Amino acid sequence: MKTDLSVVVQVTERCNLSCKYCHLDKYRAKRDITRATAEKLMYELLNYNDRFGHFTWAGGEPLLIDDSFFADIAEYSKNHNQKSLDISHSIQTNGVLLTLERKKRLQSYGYKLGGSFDGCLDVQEKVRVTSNKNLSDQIVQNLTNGQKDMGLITVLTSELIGREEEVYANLKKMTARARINSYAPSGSGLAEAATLLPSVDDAAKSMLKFYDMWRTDTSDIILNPFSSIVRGFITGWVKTCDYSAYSCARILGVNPVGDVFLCSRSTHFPETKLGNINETTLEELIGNQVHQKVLDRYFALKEGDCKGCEWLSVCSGGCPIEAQSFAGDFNKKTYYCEARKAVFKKIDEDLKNDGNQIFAKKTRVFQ
Amino acid sequence: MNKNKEPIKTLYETNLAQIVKDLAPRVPAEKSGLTPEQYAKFLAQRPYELSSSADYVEGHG
Repeated sequence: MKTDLSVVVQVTERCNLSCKYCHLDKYRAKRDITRATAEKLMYELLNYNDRFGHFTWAGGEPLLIDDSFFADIAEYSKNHNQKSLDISHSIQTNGVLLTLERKKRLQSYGYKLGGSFDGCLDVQEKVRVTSNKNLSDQIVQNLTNGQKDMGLITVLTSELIGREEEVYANLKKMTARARINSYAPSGSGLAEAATLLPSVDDAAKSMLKFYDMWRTDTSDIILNPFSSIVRGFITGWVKTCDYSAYSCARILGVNPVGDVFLCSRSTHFPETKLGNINETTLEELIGNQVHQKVLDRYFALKEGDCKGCEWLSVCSGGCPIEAQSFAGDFNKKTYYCEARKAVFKKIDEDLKNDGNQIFAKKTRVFQ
Repeated sequence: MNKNKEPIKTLYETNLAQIVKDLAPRVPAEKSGLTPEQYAKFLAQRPYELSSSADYVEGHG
């Protein structure tokens, strides 16, 4: 079973913010990717895949890199698309440098844009460490610009517990596609675990509140992971990488010097390095012993921590990097296990009782 | 899971296929709000719809 792959590339390790929950190590090198490495990576992926080629350009903060780089690599992928794949590019930014002019320029090159927002302005100011007091307002302005054409991600920290309605309203004002991410203390974010990590019980209650607001919302906002879970209950799996060993194994992380990792969030775990794309081919790296770790974990969980769990197929035990961060062991299940089960159970009940009604309002889930 | 001496690449592909086999829809077609044609089309997309890191557009900051 050969499957296409995607990559999340750190175009730079530099960043203009210092978010308290950042999964990168703050003592990391501050390297930028070269065009040669980016091109080798694209060449390899475009030759390996058979149907599509998706590249997410992230960081650090990717917009610290000049737009000419993004123009060049988009052009390169078009010119080297020998198999006529469906190629797409996205950039994930913190929004600091995303002027309207720049946004339009990057979109004109064909890039989709995603940003991050901490749900409430005061939390954004508290969690994103910056010396500029007015910056948070500017970031919100940059991420929206009167449009709702960027996806947004909010990390669920203890700062947001009890403020779900406010967060939901803010996200709805700013975007048509949002995601609530779990906070996994890792990298420099480890130091803040005591203050930012919600209890499992709080996380469960919070996620259920978000789900309920989304479920009863008559708008067609996409709110993940719920949209994805609902979709997954129909197809048999949830597609996001932190809920699916299958997706996880197919989305690789690459650092600026071309080291390929199991995940873009695991670049500070040397044991998750598959190899270097400048020294070998993607074909050589795929399925190697390091890459197998994600799949081995699924089977270990199936016979271990998650044995007999009815939700394994829609959870896969959660994100392995998260497990490594929390428990120091990839083969453990997610810290948020009970919170996830509560959400799955509620969605399952809702769909069994009133599936048609819920789906009728959520047509974008199927797009 | 395949634990024998298959080449590592084959093992990877076998394991991926096994994981896919484990997955099953939880919502019956009639509860999905989709027409039978839409439902069938939706399921047929399964092996491919997951593969994109496009979710990162809304994903990681």
